[in-house]
Amino acid sequence: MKRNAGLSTKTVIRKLFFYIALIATVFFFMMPIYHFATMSIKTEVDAFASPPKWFFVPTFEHYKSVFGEIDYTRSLLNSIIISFCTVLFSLVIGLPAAYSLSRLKFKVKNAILVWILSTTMLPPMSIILPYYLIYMNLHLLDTRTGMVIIYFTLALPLTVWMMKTFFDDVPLALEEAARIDGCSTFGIFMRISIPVVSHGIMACAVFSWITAWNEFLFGLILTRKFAKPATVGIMMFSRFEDIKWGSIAAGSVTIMFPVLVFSFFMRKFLIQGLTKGALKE
Amino acid sequence: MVRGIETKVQTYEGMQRSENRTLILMLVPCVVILFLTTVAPLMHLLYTSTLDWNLTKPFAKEFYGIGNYVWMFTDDEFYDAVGVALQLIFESVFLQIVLGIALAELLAVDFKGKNLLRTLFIFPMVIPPVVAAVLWRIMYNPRAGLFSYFLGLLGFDVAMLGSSETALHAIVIVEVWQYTPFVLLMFMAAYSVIPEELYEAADIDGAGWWGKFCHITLPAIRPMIIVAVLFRVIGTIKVFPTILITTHGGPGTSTTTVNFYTYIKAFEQAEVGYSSAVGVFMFVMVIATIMVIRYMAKFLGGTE
Repeated sequence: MKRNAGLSTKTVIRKLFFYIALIATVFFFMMPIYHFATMSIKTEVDAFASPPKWFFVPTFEHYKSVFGEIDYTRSLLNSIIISFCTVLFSLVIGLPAAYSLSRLKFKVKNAILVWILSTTMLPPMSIILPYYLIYMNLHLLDTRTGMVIIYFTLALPLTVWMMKTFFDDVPLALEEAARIDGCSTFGIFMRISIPVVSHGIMACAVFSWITAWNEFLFGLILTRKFAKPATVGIMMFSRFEDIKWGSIAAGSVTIMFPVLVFSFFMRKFLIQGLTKGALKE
Repeated sequence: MVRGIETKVQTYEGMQRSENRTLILMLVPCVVILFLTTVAPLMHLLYTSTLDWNLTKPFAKEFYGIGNYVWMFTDDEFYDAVGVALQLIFESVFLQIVLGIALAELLAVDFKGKNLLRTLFIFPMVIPPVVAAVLWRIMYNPRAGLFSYFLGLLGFDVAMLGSSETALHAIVIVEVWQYTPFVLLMFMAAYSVIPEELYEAADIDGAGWWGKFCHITLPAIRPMIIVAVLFRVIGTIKVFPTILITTHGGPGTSTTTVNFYTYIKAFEQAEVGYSSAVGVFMFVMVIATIMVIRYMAKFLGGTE
């Protein structure tokens, strides 16, 4: 009897500890995002109140002023165009390559795979200077084309690497059946394998899209005005002597929001893609 | 009869050959493009690193040999930057791994809302790094910052970003905040494939929590730890928006990492030749890191 009672207090303490640790964790990781998001709908006075105001009357003036800024809306449009072109091109080039690397039986294949993966490890700061100088000569500085090229370079290896693991899982029997029916290799790839891995393609597209959408350094260096992506665009609100925190928050929430929505709906694939890639390493 | 079989074999081989031809054709564009977009710029970088070239002096572009490298290895600011980078890497990767394991251990039990929590943990790591940087700059703001506010409640009265002693730790906190979830999700995946029977057997043997952790969990997730360290070390070498936006390398040079030093030299001081040399150094360091960690993985028998 006594022993049981002792155990249960122990369990209660353990449970209590568990929930305190859990809440502290969630608080540390989520609070900044919440605080920042609410800042975009607080008046300047409320935002700088100390102690922080947990209850306030929401205002949308920051969003109004942010979307009234033509430079910012253009940068948003740029980001949309650039990121979608990046996804499109990296799929068009990456899918056949991934399929090929999954099916070829040469020894060199592994060397190529490792090389492709290693390009994702390149420090961006090392290759940005050559890009800057080369773009200057080719007149690609501050153009969307230039931005798509560099983001495509970042997304392509990810696409190939991820899609290869998905193609590896396609049952060969399915492809053999089509081959007996007289289907060409490319036909099999287009009509059999691609539909089978369509979920993987979705996950991969989201990955590449986030890569392109979130990128900052290349956008900062390789654009001036016309092709500026939104991640660089939000910086304009801190250009003046006093930093417009409300506008920065509103602009940031605007570019953060689609990423959070996409990753919420694709959470399963994102976690899978992440761990699958890591486990195969 | 025999002829018939022969032609059949030939067509099969022919098919195999044409299949291979198609497959190689499908691979070529990707390899060519990646070569042009990654190897070619690196060659260009190697070339500019041998030039005495400052963009503000357009006619002073001449061959300089290993001059830039000599400059680099005799440059005190460069060594400072290496030191800052190493401190940032050690502190933040260490904290991420330890916290990641602790949280994975905490979340190993089943409870209501575990899936929701897993989803929430994706958020810090997918938000644009520049947004994370702006967000933390506000968190550290002495007037409006939530973080400063809580520090104040605890009795600390520091503007984390304003002092050269705490600025780097402030960057570490941002890194830990953004990428511990990444490490955690990797460890949670590793946990999920550990067979339950091992723990049951340990329970029967009367093993405590610590014993189970050391003898079952840790060996089982060791390969994942090595992968996580590799990913995070490489990732931390590249930290950029956080430093640019929260501290701009300051106060003084207390948060100027090698990566940020390259940026300042290249795009604020237009020292193309010199910054190319630092860029080459960084590239070599990344390769070396990968090789060292892979070697350690083999040495520790981590990769099964």
